Amino acid sequence: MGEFSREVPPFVIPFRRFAVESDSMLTTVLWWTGPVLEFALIVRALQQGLFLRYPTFFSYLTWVALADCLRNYVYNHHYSSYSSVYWPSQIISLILGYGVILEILHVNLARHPGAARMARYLVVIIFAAIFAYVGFRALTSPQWSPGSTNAELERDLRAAQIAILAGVLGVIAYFRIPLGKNSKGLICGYGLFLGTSVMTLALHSYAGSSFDYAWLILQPFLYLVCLLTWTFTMWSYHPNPAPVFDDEVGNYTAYAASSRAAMESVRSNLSKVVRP
Amino acid sequence: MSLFLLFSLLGAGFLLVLYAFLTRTSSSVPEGSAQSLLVAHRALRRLQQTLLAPYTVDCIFSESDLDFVLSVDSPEVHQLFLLERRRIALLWVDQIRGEILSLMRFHRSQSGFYADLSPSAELSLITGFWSLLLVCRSLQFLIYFRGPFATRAIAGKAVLAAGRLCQTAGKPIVFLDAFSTGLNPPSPGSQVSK
Repeated sequence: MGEFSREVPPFVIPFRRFAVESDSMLTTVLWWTGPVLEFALIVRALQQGLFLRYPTFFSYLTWVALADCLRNYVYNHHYSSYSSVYWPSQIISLILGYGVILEILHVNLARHPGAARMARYLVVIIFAAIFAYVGFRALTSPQWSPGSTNAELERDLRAAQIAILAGVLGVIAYFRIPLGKNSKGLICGYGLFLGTSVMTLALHSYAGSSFDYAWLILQPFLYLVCLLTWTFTMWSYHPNPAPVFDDEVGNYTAYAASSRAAMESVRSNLSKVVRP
Repeated sequence: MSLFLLFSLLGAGFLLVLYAFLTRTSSSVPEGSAQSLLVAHRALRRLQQTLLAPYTVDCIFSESDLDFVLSVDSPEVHQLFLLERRRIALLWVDQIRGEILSLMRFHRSQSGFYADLSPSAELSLITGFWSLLLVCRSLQFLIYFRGPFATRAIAGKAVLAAGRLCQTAGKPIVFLDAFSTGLNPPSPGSQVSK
């Protein structure tokens, strides 16, 4: 135990102990609950017409469900090939995850063209910043690579997803766009998944293989929480509240001018107040 | 270790942002509804006609009241008067701030509908609103620490600074009545759901 303590940070030890000492039944239950819930959600979405309303999300979920079954099979019957199946399938999930974020943008900002425009600008700026950072690192240090391990690569790409989703959430919050139960659930579940993924992947990259035992339980458990969020919020169709738009001024230039005028009026009155 | 900390903080920070986002967007009243139009309309009217009206301000900051109280030879009365006047002045600024926030929220809830929205114009507008809110916070700070009577002249500089900020952020224009027109409570038939 002493040698182990030197290899990994102390906070990893309880996870490992828990993983090693726990019944393998728990791992099995956690691993199979995911696909069961995923297929239940997909069938329900087909029945309720949700698949057509959130096509990218449910395509993502279908892929994850199929990949989960494949991984479970490979883990139990061809363990030596598990790593070569896990990471490629994870990269495909990751790419589909970018589609889920774009769907969040599209579904929630469809009736707010100005906000959608702002979000697109923001997403382009975030992507440009990420590419600029990667380019800068690649040019300044020839030894640098995007991720020396698959876990590091996934961690970095998930972090980029966090940046983009945070930008989209910022735009939704700024324009005070009302969200329905489905949208909130989608954002909550995927956001939770991204946040916890980046933290566990960071821990995995830092602690190395000694974290594998804990990871086998922690990752499916956290994903199960996200899946339960989706199950409760996406079981039936709940649209976003219909916004009411009363366009009395015609276009944004006139509207912004009237807002500025109102603001200037307040400022001028306030100025008179404090400078009698 | 530094990368581990960086990514752990990123993940944890994002979860906090997500929590704040989901708790703040719990309103079920659609923005831009008749209710929010009425709230914004009332905010502008209250600012122009009541809160920032010269009479209201003169009553709160009246130095003749102070002179009168000072003429009474009672330190307890002086202290009580200053305390209460400070409380009133703080409440007054708080109400102004609340109404500015209402206007800002209304603006934000409506501007997203315009397909020709200009991000730079929007940024300059919101900077202007934030500078006004900053002025209000500064006023509260000054009133709290220096009292309402010593604050008035100093606060003038803060408001001027905010004004300069607004002018650099975007060219101020003469007050258009369009905003008020836009804020008129709409008839049920005039509301367009898009």
